[in-house]
Amino acid sequence: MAEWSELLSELVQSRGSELKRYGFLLCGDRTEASDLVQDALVRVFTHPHRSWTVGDVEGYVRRTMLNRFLDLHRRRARLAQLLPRLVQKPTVPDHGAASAHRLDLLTALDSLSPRQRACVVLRYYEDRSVADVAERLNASPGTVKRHLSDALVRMGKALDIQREAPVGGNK
Amino acid sequence: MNPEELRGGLPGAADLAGPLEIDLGRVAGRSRHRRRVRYAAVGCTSLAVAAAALVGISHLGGQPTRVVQPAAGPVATPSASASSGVGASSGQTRRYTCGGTIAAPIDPGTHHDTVTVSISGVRRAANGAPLVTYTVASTSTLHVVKNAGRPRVVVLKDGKIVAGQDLSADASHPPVSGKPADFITIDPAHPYSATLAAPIGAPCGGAAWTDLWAPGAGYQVAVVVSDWELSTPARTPIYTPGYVNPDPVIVVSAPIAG
Repeated sequence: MAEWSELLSELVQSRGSELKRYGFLLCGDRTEASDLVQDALVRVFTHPHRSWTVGDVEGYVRRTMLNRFLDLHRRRARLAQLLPRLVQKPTVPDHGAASAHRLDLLTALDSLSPRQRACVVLRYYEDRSVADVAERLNASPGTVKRHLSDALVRMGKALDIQREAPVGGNK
Repeated sequence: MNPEELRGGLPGAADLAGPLEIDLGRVAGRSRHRRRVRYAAVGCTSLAVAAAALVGISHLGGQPTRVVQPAAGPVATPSASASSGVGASSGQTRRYTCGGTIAAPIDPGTHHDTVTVSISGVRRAANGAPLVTYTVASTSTLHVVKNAGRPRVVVLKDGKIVAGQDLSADASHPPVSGKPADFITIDPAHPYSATLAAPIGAPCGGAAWTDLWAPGAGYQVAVVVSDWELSTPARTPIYTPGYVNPDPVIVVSAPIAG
């Protein structure tokens, strides 16, 4: 088996779940998260390097996932502009018996734009600095701060609406 | 919502992702396929670039595409009375430009024993341009072109071209006519002699033709014979539009006497 194939197996076995979690937070859908990871793995392993370690590759895969996620949403937005009637609304993810709070948070994340969502995931899930997030998104730190601030406001409003909805329903 | 609340809640939300379910074999196969496509694209691009470079070189100052293969039979050798390889130096091209040199004859020694080319006379035309009479002799049967302007006559000073240069970047000498080459057959008993047309155009640098004849001026005429001019029936060349300057196989020169 080629060296890169072994590295691929090792990466998926040791870090696969973590990559899926990262992808899930980015796109909010399990199937799409798996596709995102798979696409990123294919792209990264198309140009394998002998000196790679699992850590190196994971970094590349995460970066590729982020770029792919933003690209996909950019394309979908364009398609939605061109063919508004043909594009289906995003399906509501099926989270089974997950806790209400987690679902609320995911729903609140859905209210964000793709770039805002990416900023939130990189800053608060991956715990990266604002400068690092800016570098990854090819944006200025000021833009990232603005995205984060707007995202927190939006998510707060979305959570408030969700919390108020059952109350209103009981009345 | 505050950042700490979000930081604390995101890992819990990520737990909903579940395990990664991907087909490793499929990922490896797709990677391999993409890599093959990439290598093929790189290979094709390299070939295309190399082909374009070759075409560019052959059209822009390189060796022109040859209609006639180098002579397999009798060709030529410079006569003992004339110098050969005039002005030959490295970096020459098949262009004849003012200040340039004549390219070194290709394969000059292959047919050394069969053909002799010599300049038998240089006289002055009415406008002062040199009219060169040359002779071709051969120890076997040979066909020599007799179209006007062939072989080419170039005027040199200190080995540099001073007249008879190409008129423009892609000009042939003489301008291509598109008509078939006209040959005469020579043999050991019947050498061929002809007066060649004077170089067309004007001398370089605004000089006059009459300057060539000044005493002690040190000009030379050179006759550049290519495999265009010496052929066999099986390899009869055709004047092809765009055919510029064939490779010289013999260059003979003689001084212009003032």
